[in-house]
Amino acid sequence: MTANRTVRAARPCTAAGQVTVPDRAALATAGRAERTRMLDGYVRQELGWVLGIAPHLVDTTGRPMSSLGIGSIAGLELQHRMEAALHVELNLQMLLLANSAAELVDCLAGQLGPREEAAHRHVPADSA
Amino acid sequence: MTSTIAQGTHPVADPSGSLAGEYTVALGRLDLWLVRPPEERAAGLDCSELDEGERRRAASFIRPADGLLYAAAHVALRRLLGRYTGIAPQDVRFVREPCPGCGGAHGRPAVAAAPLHFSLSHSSGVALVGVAAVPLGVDVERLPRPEAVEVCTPALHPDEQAELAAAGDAQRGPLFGRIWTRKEAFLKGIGTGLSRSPAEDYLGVDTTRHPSGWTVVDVPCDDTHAAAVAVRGAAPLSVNVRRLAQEWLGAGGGTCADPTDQGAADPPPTTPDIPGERSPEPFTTALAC
Repeated sequence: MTANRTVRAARPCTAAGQVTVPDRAALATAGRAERTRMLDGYVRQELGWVLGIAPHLVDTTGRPMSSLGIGSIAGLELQHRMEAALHVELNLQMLLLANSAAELVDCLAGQLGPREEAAHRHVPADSA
Repeated sequence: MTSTIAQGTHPVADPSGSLAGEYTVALGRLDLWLVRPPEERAAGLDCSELDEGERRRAASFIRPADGLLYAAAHVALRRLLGRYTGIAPQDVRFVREPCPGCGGAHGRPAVAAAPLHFSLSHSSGVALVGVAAVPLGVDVERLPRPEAVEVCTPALHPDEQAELAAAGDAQRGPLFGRIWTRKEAFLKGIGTGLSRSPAEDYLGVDTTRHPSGWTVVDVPCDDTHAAAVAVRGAAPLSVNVRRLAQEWLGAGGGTCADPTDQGAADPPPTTPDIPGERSPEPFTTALAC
């Protein structure tokens, strides 16, 4: 498995001070459950960084993004950080309206999986 | 066109008091209400008029302060709209206008069977409510961190990006805040929200290049936030910016049926600086109840 990349994060509130980005090749070859696990950890880090809380405190299943504290600017920041890190396309409106961070993880897992799976799960960059 | 309301002390208003005549919706008139939550919910926030969905949502925030702000903003919204429409706050029924893109029921929020338009925004301790006779959008945002500005700037219109690149370090955050709140207010006004790309429309420094058919107004609120409103059509004849008295968010605050003039001193009126064909009126001054 290829080593993960790390992205510098200067915010002191992040537990490790940096966000670890899972390797795309590893994501593509992992099974769905493992890929979801890897992306859940990554999304927790990104959300923790943007929100200024420790990743393990991020509730990925029980709250909509807005209830996590993701407003429009934080959502835009999150969108661009994840697009740059994972080379994916995310829809800002869908990100902001997601019922939970798990929906975002699921969207990413679909895009970053095997090609045939991604073709069925692609989320357009802009829907309107 | 984009204008800036002159910085000044916004009058503090308690709508349960002597302002019954101020809840008027008329062409050329724009009312803006700045809301701050009470420091402690138990001490000053009456959520009894919120519906089940609003209460559930208020309880869902991971940060208690966000939930308190959400609840305060929605208590204020219901009570204000109740005043404008004559409907009891708990009976105000919200609907969605058709989406301008697909016609689905997820466009601008509206009050059922009421001849007014409203918009609500809240961010980090401040909420802003706008009420007008024409479609409008408001946005308030805490000024972003420099790292956030750096990451988010490429999403903007190319000419907005250039203006941010040319700004000094100290000015970049406030400029981004102004551009973003103008943009989001405009996108809320036209009903697309952020499904329309933030790069599509120019809302930067050159106000003559702003989207035609709309008036965008910067609303100063405090040193840590940017705020803006976009209203369809020409510049409003009057823009009334008032700060809602926190007491009005408490029990009985929205149900005072017999407003009395308990006139506290009026704060100095400030005047919106809105260039255009028509001269705006001074801010409406208000009395604290």
